[in-house]
Amino acid sequence: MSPLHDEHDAFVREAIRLHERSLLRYVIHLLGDHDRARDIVQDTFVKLCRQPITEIDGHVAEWLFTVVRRAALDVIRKEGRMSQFAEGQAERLVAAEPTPAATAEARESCTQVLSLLPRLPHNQQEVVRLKFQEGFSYKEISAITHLSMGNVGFLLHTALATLRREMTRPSAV
Amino acid sequence: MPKIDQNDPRLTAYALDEMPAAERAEFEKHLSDDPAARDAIAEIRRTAGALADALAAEPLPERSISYPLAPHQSHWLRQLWAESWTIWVPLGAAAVFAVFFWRVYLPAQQRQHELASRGTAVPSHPSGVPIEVAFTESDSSAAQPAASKPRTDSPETPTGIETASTTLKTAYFLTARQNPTSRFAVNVGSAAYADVRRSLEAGERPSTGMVRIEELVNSFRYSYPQPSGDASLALSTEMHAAPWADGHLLVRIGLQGRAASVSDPTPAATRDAAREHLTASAARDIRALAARDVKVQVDFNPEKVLAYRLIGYENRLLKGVAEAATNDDLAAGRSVTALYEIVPLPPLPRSAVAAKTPPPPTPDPSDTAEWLTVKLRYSEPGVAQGRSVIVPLHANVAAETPTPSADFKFAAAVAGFGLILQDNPNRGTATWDMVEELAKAGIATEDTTASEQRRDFVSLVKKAREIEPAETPAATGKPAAQ
Repeated sequence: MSPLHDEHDAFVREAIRLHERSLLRYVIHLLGDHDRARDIVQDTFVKLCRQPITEIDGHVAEWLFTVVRRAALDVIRKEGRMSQFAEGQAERLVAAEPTPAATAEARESCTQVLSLLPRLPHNQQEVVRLKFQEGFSYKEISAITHLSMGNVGFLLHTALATLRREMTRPSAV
Repeated sequence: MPKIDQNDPRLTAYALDEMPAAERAEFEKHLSDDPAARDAIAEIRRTAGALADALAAEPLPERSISYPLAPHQSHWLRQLWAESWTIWVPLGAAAVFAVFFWRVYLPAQQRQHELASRGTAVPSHPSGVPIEVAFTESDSSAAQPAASKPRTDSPETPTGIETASTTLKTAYFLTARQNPTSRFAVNVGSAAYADVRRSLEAGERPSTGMVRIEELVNSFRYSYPQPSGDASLALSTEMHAAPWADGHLLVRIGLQGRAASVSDPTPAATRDAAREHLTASAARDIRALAARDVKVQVDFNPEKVLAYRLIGYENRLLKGVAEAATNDDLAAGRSVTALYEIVPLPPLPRSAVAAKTPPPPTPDPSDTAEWLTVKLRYSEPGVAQGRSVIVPLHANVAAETPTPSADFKFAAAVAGFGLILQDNPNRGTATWDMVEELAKAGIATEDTTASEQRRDFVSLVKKAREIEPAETPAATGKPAAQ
């Protein structure tokens, strides 16, 4: 076994450990289909096995999210699936799938903000998740979604403003 | 000045630390006389914190990949298996090797190391001595700081900083092999301490997003050595056993800016010449600055350091290249503290660390290879030529100064406080008792204001433990729940 191969092996293993579940969550939100999401994520890690480390080291998470997103959008196009976060027309879509129910012990405000999230336009939901769930920077979100950084900033600002307004409304959920 | 519109996305960019430093300075001027905008930013941070907390609590889907990637997991992989078994055979072999490495080779190494370190005299080598070098004119990056890239000895890959940005979001350690270079920003705010204090005093546990450890640590004064000669900055380092993790070391990097003075004590000829062209207000700005374009870079030696993490800075590291490559100014008299937790290679014997003794030196006394190198570069206000300071840290830095300084203990206490409040998966064995003990041990300092601040912190720790009595430390070294 060459040391190089060994390093690559450790690299892929670490990438799976760190990112598999968050990638799954992200694709499930894009597609609304668990089985398809699993295939896409596995497929992506197989691609990672073939990728020279030097080309992706330092932005592995960004690379993985970019690749799964492209694959998910391909599925949407080919299979005519209803898009959750589709580009362009996303603003006009109404949330089709509720977010997974928060755990019972979750604090009330958590439940509240999670229940408000599906009311946002899909492209806002996507950047909110990439930013606040996955911790990507504006720049990384821009690379993953092919939106401009200005656009990412605008979507997040608008999403936060809406959530803030809804959360403070007395009649809110 | 016109008020900032509530719909201006810059408010969110600022609140989330996504604004480049140059733009941020300009924006802060607008903020200074716009209370509505400041309120909006506080609101955005609150919403963002609630959102991040809620999203973090959302359950993750179950894992479905076992490694090495098994061929029966999906139709796609079945197909791949049929086509190219060549991938799986080497991966399987790699797994066999990995088992051998962790189960057989490493334990053997550790035993060997324990034997070697037993009874070894502590050799003393000069280390931690700053080496000052002036930048030459030919260094174009020093002459044009705005467009410069930090100079490194290791080959600069375009992804050097992003490494930290993508991996650290899980608050987990980075391997020195994969990520030998780390940088941290010097323009750290201190708002988090006030926020955390307010929250604790109101009897509430602060939200995870509110607890910014780098801001907490930098809310206090430290008695670092003042710059000597005509230097604007002084760099000091310290390395001791990490209080909350057996076998880990904690490295404190302190940066102290020259104190502000109305009559510049060291008016270098070049500086005066440059100043003649400056307006009065610019000259005032210069006096308020200790140094500009301050960049700190830490290079880890993968032969000595298995892994490391920068404590705190999670939000800032997320910004990746854009932020870390931005120039930073340090105000006169300010200090900056950064803490790195490092996992040495080979692992330190548990017995040595459990006794809270300083880590033993490497078995070979002639081995003076540095563990890490702190590189600082900056420009004097009003002077084009840059300066740099390089401080290598050896294993025996800790042996030379066996007792942690009060500053070290206190900074470690504040970091531990943050790790517990964050419920950080890598808080190790940190407990309120440990935090309180360290903080009390760190109160003693000649600076009376600092002592006052520190006593105040001890009382805040007492409040915190009433609200968050969880004393069960998280499993040591357990990776983040990602």
